[in-house]
Amino acid sequence: MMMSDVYRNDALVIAGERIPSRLWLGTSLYPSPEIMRQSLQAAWPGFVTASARRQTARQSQDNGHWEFIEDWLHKSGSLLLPNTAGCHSAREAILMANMTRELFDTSWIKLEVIGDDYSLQPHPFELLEAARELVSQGFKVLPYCTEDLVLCEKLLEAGCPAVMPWGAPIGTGRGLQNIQGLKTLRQRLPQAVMVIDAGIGRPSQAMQAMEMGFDAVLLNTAVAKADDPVAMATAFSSAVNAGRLAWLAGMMAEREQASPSTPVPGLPFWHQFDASGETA
Amino acid sequence: MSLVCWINGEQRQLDLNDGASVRTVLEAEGYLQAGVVPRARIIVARNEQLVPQALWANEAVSSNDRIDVVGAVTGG
Repeated sequence: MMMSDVYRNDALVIAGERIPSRLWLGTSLYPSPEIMRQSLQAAWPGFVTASARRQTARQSQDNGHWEFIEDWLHKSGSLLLPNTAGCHSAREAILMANMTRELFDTSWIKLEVIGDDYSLQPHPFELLEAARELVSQGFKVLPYCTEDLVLCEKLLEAGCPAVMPWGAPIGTGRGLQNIQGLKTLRQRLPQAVMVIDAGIGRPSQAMQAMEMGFDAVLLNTAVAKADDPVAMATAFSSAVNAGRLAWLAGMMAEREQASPSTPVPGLPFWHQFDASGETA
Repeated sequence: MSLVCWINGEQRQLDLNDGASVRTVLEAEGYLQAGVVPRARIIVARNEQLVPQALWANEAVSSNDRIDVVGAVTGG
């Protein structure tokens, strides 16, 4: 089988559903709905994230961003991934998830339960409690979590079809802060679908995550806050595809010593001159 | 005739009877027009319990009830 065939057949399937891309994109913080729409088109994301908030009557009837998102979903094949952003307890997150299911008519949920307002670090205990309950209610729960191995194992045991460890705190753009921990996670849970969510700031960091064998990346600020979000969305799309292909291709092992790539045998004047150019 | 309740965290005094339906409250607050299907999708919770749209016409709102009206927004 040709490598290109492997790549073409490399579908990402979560909870039995084929996800059309390994780049997932948030919809917040764009300069305008039109720039957001063009960025979605450039990235062509597998999932598009959205949320639910209290709205006045005027806000509910004049919601330009959402109309663009809805239009994109109808024509693109991207899936909608509502979140529970801002929730600090299992109880809040469960209620929010049920609201999003009613609002968006989907059982997918990006489960966020924040435990620390400064770092926006997930609350592991409330997260696990909420995940168990939501799975029992029929949700397809994609939890935003830390790279803690035991937490990820427990979330998977609870029935989450994937886990989404952070790269770095939300909105920081610092990339993969704990590379060794993430490598360990990938090695110890080789069958699990794992998505790097949050903290990605540059295409090279997304590519690094994909080269490490993570299944997808979810980001928002890195695209929305770029000088040119549409161009950055294109860059991330290329990086994610390149990283995935590199992972599938199998990268060479690092070596301590140099090794010439051009064959040595047959070199003219083999050892006939020393470094000064004198005849040896 | 007066119904005092909380809508999205703000206390409101509405010219409605205590026990008016969720739909009537939404119409009074401008979310819905009588007989018109809303253009934007919204969902409603009463006292932190989701009220499915099919029940809006029957679910009663009592004094001091907390009504949340929630719509779609961008998210990360």
